[in-house]
Amino acid sequence: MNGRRRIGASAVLLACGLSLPAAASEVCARLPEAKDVLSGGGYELSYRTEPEAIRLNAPFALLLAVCGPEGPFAGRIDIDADMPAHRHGMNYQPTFDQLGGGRYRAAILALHMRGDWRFRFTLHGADGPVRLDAPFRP
Amino acid sequence: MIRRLALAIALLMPGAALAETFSAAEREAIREHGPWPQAALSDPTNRFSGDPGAIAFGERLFFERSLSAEGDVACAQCHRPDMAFTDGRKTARGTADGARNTLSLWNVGQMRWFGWGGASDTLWGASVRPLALMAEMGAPPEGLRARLRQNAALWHDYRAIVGQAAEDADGSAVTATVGKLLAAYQETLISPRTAFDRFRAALLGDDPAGVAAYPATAKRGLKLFIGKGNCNLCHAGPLFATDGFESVGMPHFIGPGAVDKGRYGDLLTFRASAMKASGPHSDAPGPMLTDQARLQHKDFGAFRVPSLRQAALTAPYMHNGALPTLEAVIRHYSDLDMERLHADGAAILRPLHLSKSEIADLVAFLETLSAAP
Ligand code: HEC
Ligand code: HEC
Ligand SMILES: [Cu+2]
Repeated sequence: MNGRRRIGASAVLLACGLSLPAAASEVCARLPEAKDVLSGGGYELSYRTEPEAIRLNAPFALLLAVCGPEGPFAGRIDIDADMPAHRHGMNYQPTFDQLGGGRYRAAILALHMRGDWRFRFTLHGADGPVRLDAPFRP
Repeated sequence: MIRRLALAIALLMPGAALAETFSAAEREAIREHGPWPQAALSDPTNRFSGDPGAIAFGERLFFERSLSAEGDVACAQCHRPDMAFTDGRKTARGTADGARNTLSLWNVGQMRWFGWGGASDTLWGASVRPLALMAEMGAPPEGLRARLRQNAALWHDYRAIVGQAAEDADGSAVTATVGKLLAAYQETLISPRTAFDRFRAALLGDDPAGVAAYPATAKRGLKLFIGKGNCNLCHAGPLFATDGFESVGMPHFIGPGAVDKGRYGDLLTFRASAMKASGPHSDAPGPMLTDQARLQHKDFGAFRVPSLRQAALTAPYMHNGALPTLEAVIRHYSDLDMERLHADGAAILRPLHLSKSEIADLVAFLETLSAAP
């Protein structure tokens, strides 16, 4: 449970992740070894966690690949997690880096309770927000 | 021999035999409460963490009255080693009366947030907070350096550990250093293995005699704890605590028109504090998970989920010491007043309506989480 841990080089990643809007011709690839693939509103979102096995209360990262009809998604994504049965969310605000090519990395999420969680991704595309939910059990 | 006898008796008594069996899900839930002790952690934000000289000097400081403004209060007065590092009082009394129950310091090195509302994210920051609080030691930080110097023997040994930095440092740097030395000592306070830990090891290691040695009443209490009680959702992992702040329906009025805002107030205090892991006195500054903590409406009147290790030794209970015994705590959960729970709080708690014997079983289980050092 020790929290005196650095949250790593996310600021650096952010700096090099300020990519140009993806070109339509770019191929959009699903994340290798994705934990789950969600689709809706013309988007496909694949994700995996880093590390793969998550411990309660321990920071981890979510790696996302998002493909739209036009190729890699380049818009804003909001990410949150909650436990619907308990009606509560996370105690920490995730930080978010856009890596380019439809890839995103959300860092330092920490889930504080065993049970059923749900990741909520909101993709802010040209045609308005699209929400994709992923049930998740740490 | 005695263990074998216990096993034989257990097998003869059908009621007891039922308590002997644990489903796969129960075993998995029990596994999560160990192993114990956990590997020692070292604190990168405290350069004295793990240093034997600093640990010994920190222990001396812990009993030192001259840290307080009036030279009359020591840490050990409230955190009494012979009372599981608490004082047995409802709420603490130092230079003035406080509104909160003194927290035990057992396993304090394993916490992420310190204090009932998490006003600190470093053990050294939490250790110097009492110095400045009237309700604790009433000493403004500027005075601490002068008081240390007045005590020739103490200053001599302090210099020997801290080095030239002792001379150059300003008041708040000295305060941070004193906190780090106190923290180095408190990190060594790891509670002993208990009857529960031995039972857990026996259960997972398929040692029937070890399993049988654990009292049937504690086994039934454990099943309630991880079953219908839902206790392990919050009191989770090897510490029986979680890195969260919840409201369990305890009133938080502290006087006419005054409330203890709990997590809500203390998160704001934390954000303004210089004694934090990402702050100027940290030995490993940088972005921290704790800086990402969300201020939420439900934090109002929420308090840290306390560890239940050694809890049998730390009565009275809750942030305000309002409940005198473990049995009173269980009764509180059993008769929970839903009106008192936050409408937007966690929807986990509901009155458990436990029978007398179920209450006794839960108490018996909780008692197996404590052991004399
Ligand atoms: C007057 C009694 C009193 C004195 C003296 C006192 N404390 Fe405390 N201590 C408390 C109380 C009450 C709390 C809970 C405070 C809160 O939640 O805000 C506490 C909390 C703590 C915590 C946080 C524990 C946890 O589990 O989060 C630490 C660490 C601590 N004290 C260390 C010290 C040290 C070191 C000293 C001496 C410099 C000291 N205390 C002096 C009463 C006292
Ligand atoms: C929703 C999370 C949650 C659940 C579920 C929960 N607790 Fe607690 N527990 C807490 C919090 C938070 C406190 C401190 C409350 C306060 O001080 O206002 C606490 C305090 C306690 C204490 C007092 C510890 C001390 O040192 O003061 C005991 C004992 C305890 N709980 C046992 C249990 C048992 C047994 C159950 C199951 C019947 C249970 N808890 C269920 C969150 C929870
Ligand atoms: Cu929950």
